[in-house]
Amino acid sequence: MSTPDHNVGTQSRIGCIRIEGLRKSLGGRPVLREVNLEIKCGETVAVVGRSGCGKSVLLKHLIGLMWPDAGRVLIDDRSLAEMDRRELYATRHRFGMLFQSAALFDSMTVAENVGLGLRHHSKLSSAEIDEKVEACLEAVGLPGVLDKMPSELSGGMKKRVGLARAIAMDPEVLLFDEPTTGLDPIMSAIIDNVIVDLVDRLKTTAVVVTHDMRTVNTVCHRVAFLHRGVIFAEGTPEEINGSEDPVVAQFITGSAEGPIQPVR
Amino acid sequence: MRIRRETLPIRILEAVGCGSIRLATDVGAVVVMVWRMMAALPRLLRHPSLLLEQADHIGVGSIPLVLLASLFTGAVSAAQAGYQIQDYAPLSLVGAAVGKAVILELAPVLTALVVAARVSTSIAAELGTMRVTEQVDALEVMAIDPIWFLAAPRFFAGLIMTPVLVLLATVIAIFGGYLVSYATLGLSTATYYHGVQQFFLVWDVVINQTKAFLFGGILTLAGVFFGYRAQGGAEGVGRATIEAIVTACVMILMFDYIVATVMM
Repeated sequence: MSTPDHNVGTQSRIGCIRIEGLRKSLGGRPVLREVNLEIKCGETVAVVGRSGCGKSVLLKHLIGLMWPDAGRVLIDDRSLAEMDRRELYATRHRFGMLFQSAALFDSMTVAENVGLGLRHHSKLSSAEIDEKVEACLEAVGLPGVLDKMPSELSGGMKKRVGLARAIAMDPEVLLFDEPTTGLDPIMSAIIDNVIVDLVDRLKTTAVVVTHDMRTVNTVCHRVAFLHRGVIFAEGTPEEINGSEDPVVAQFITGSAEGPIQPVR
Repeated sequence: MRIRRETLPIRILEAVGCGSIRLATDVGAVVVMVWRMMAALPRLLRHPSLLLEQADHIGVGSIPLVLLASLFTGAVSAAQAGYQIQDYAPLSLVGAAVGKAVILELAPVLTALVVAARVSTSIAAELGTMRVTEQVDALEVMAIDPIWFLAAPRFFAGLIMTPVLVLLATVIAIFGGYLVSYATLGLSTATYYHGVQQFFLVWDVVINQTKAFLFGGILTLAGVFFGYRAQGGAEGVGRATIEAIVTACVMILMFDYIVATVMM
């Protein structure tokens, strides 16, 4: 399997993210022990690891939805913890996030969900917002669902609406939390293709949290393997796939036998 | 191995200490939330649709319930007053008794309790569900302050609409008292309303509206606060809902006493 051919480096506007010595405990249990990771501009990085290893927790730290017990997250060399609320929100303007459950606002229609950020932050007219919402839905391959409520959508459609909402504000960094979890293989492949297409077209930096190696191989330039609260291995998808480390190999092959023991 | 057991006084001390810390933390969190909602007011006034939507839900939506409850409150007040004074005082005082009781106590407190049962629970359940399904996080990522977007409209709608509801309840309860006085106690319309007017003071209405304003804040704040910090799925939402209604009811009764003591 080869790395995706969309280019790394110069096209992205801004959005370098550095994680330094991040530690986080939840309910007294250390989840992240010492995470160090750098995500370069324009790069698509996958954070992989077993369920419950702290991938989503790590992702939420990148945007200030969770705060570290120790360590820091730097966005373009500026620590999130040092920002006041106004600056934090200004930084969040540069992000778009697809949540694991899509997190659509269930009291709003699809159009209202996708257009919410635009209505609150842009100076576009109502007609321009409607146009942009339609374009975003078109981009994720979901035209004609503007007036539907989230409860009327399938899991895959919800994810795509979530994706449309994430790109509506033209983000410079896209965060994906388990974008294909719970979807059938065909829908997963469709979502993967949509992500590749969007990242390529919008020239964004992207962080994909997943345990689906097919998504990793299709979408990402680099992989960080999170294990026991640290980045245990890092490399291109080819390097990770070919790793001889027993821990990494067990995860890649999905074997029940090996050094990784079931969480009790 | 020898297990050291703490003595009873130590355990009591520990429980009191933990409870005090929790209480202080909660009070601090409530103060911060109210402060943030106050700070969000100017922006909320520039987007009145958010406020109007909640005013409709909290105020207009509660009218049938409040009408029914206050009608029976007035009716039972008249029946009780008639029963209790029939041997000691003229029945013409029924109007006065109903008027005083309704304006000073029954309309504000019972309306607040009825509205709390409907509104505090619905706010806590709605915000709690949004919290546990990551919809609140989605707002944060979109750089939309959930305190401004979700909490403040509900809080201020409660502050505005509860006094209106209490005023309505006061009028309807006095009318309910009249129906019973006329139908079962044999009082004429003039006698009843003369009684109501006889001991009427404008200050009583000030007390009535002060209580209503305060209770409106309490019942929405309880829903907002417990809903906003809900955790742990459906069980967490259920817990938040219970905490909201119990706290709202207890605080309403507590502040009823405080206002009565201070203003009467």
